[in-house]
Amino acid sequence: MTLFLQQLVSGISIGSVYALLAVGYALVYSVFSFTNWAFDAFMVVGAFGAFYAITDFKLPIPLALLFAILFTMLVSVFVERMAYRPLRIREAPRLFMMISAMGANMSIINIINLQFGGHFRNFPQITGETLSVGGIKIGMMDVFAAVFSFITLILLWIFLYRTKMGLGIRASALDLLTSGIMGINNDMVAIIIFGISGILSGVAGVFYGIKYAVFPYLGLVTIKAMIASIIGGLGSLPGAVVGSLLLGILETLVSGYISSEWRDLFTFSLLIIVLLFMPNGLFGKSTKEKL
Amino acid sequence: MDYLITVGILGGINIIAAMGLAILTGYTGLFSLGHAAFMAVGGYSSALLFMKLNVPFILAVILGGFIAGIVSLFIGIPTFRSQLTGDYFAIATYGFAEAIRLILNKWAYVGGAEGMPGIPKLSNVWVVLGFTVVLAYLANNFTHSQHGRNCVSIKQDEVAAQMMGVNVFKTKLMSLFISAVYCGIAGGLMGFYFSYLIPALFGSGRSSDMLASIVFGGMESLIGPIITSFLLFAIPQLLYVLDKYRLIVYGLLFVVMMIFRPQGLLGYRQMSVEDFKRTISSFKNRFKKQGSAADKGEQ
Amino acid sequence: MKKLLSILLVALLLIGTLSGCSSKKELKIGFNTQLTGPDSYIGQAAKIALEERVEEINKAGGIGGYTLKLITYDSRSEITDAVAAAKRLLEQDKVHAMIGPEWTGAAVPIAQIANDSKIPVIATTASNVSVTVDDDGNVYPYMFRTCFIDPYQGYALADYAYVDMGLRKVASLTDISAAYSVGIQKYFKDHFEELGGEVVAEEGYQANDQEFRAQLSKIDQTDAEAILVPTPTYRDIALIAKQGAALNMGVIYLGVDGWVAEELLEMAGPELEGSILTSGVSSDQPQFAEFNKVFEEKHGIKPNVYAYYALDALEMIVYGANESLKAHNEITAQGIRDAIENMKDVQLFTSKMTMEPDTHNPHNKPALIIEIKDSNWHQLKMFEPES
Repeated sequence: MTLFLQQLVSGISIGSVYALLAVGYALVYSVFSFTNWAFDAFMVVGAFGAFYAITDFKLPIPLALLFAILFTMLVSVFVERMAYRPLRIREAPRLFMMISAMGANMSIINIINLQFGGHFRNFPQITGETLSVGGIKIGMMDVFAAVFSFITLILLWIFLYRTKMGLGIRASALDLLTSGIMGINNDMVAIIIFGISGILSGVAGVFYGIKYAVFPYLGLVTIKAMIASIIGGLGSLPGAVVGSLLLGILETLVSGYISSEWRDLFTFSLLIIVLLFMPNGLFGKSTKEKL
Repeated sequence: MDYLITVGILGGINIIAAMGLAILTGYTGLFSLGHAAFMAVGGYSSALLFMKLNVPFILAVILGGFIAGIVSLFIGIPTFRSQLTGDYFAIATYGFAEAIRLILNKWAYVGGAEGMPGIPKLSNVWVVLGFTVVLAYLANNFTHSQHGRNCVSIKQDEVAAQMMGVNVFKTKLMSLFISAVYCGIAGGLMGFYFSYLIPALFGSGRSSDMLASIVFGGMESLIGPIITSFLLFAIPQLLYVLDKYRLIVYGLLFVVMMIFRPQGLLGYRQMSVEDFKRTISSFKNRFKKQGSAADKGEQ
Repeated sequence: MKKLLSILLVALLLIGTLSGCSSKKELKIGFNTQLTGPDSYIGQAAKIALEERVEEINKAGGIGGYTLKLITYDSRSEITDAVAAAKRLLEQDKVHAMIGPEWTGAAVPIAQIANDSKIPVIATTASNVSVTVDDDGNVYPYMFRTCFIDPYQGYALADYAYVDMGLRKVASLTDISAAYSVGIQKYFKDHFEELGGEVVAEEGYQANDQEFRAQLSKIDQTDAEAILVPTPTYRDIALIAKQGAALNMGVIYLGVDGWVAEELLEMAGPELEGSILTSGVSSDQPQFAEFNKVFEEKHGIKPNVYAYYALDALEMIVYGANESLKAHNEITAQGIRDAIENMKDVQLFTSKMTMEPDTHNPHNKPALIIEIKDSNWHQLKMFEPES
């Protein structure tokens, strides 16, 4: 029983990082109907930004995190401007955007790798404490990350559903073309969407850096988040959260009870099964209701 | 000279794989991130056929290709039945490829993660050249056949294609099957060239390299990817001049290509002169058509 | 604009093909390494170290009138790229000898290429048996290595764990996608069970995984006294140790030379307190102190084991070149190969080396048993091979 609960806790903590990323994917997908394949790089930018803000600029930790997140946001908007917008305006096939984004991703990661080196860096420990509840160990940092992720998602929800700008974005998600005709500036929407997804990936990157290590390839985890967002239903925000938690928990349970060696086979089979029986994912009931 | 032969052999293997992917991605518009897995299946099965069942070399390579084709149906049937396209299909193929690699890593009979050494080195430049020419001829015929046209129609507008009586499911499956056979043959030739197979040979890096040759070569073209897959094999070599900036340049090229030259580096699309002329005449309308038609097809 | 761009691109391709044709008296040495990709830390310091050493030799007048020239290619940790780079070095650039690659997956196909081109290749840390000998036990005549082999390392570690540490129950956490990791786990298990110990849990993960809590929690439920973690890079063990500490596991880890990197101590020094590993060299050995200091001051990065091994390989080539000069009055690939095959007690960068002619493995290369103590390496014992 202890093992089960321990695995559950680990699963939730893994899932909460997936969730931030998956929501970022879902957000972009819901409006523009493409997956942001450059997400990986944004996460790395966030982690490195925070790391160097603390170690080199000697910023206090909260300020450093803020700096990293804003910086990631800028990079995200910049990539949108350079790699996406020309294609979007031309209404190029989605395939082109995917490839363009992959290229941007490859470049950014390798620039970072070249500039800072491929080695691991330890993030300055914020708290290394571990809570022990009835034999189950929970890292304080995990709790903090989960809470912070949750707050970020709530703020996002408020922004989307309680502000005028959010309304505009939801309108765009419904129909980009019509909302454009109705006077919503689609370029502005793109900037906001990419800004937000930049923030989300920045936060995820920072937490990932704290939890694991800061290095240029930490973004490999985004593929799991992408799978989570597909399981939840591409383009659905609640779906992304649920899909992420589900994936995180199932992964740890499979590792714990079946076999850690076969874990990924399980993950990918799950993906294929979900796609087979629920092509729209768990929450993607219809393509019209995306946000 | 030796090195030129090496370039010829590895370039030829790349060309074969790229032609397969060109049929799937360039013609049918399906984006795959997992074709390295089909190379792995082809490589391992042809090596096993040769070493354990004494099937002759050429036949083993061809059979290996067909085994890869059959394996591709395992991912093709479920995904196409649920009408997955675009990002979904890409992720599904990625997952499938990882799953295959995991199985190979754990399968002790083929050496697991330690790989399978001792495959005789039978792929020489003539064999590879022969395969490349024959497969290029077949691929060219396919793209000009009814089936090839069906593929393009699906890429441009799936719904319209269906209305016109194209069996979308069957056509997609055929396209995937053929591309997997090509990759399988490429994998077989590779195994018999390296004389060693190891799952790490078929990582996701390989899949994205293959994709790059389609990107640089141009959609709906065979000759484009043929040339670029060869050059791309050469570019990393040439880009060694750039040393550590290599991958940065490579990535930037992806972006630049998509924005300024989505029709491919070489800019012509087909193998025959006629098509080339037609391409030029339709060049002016290119952007308008492409945008509206292809985008809707992918929804 | 578009036309211009495509012309530029094509021009770029052509320029590359024309470069590289000069023929002074040069001793060309290829270096096939990993400069980009997740494992770029392996090649980055080594490249600097080699360049520096080559420059030093050239300043001192080269070798018998030959200037040394180092040609480095990046394999970005992909086997095909490593093979292509080897092909280019051996067949196009016609180097006299090649250093690298660093891992088994790439070294095995390259052994074949070395044979075909008759140019010696010195793999650095590729430790699987099959790198230098084929399935039937015949040595690849042109393939050498500077490190010891997996069975020996697994054996030494199992021996130390059972006899010296008194461990009886051990769990293992293996990178199932790495030949190196799987190999050592196998040899460790064989010998450990032969001695009477028990491997109570065998868990696995795949390269580039970053999350290990599920496996660790599971191991925590068993009565394992230590966890064998034969990771190919320090990254995995750093994450494993940190996550193990977060679970309050309080267990020690048994490791291998894949661990050895200064970054590991920075990352997870306290978490790994008391852990034991085997390695051929250790950067805490006093003979490297001066080198490390100068290197770090000059280049801003710490040299690592991969740099040491690369320097060893370079010294082997330099030795071979000198011998070749003595014997044939010129430096030839064949001359270098013959000299390396028969080298005895030659002082290299790390230690003296004798090559075993029938396996091309360093003879009796001792395994250091190292303990991580106060976030530093501490050599406990020199494990001398019996044979």
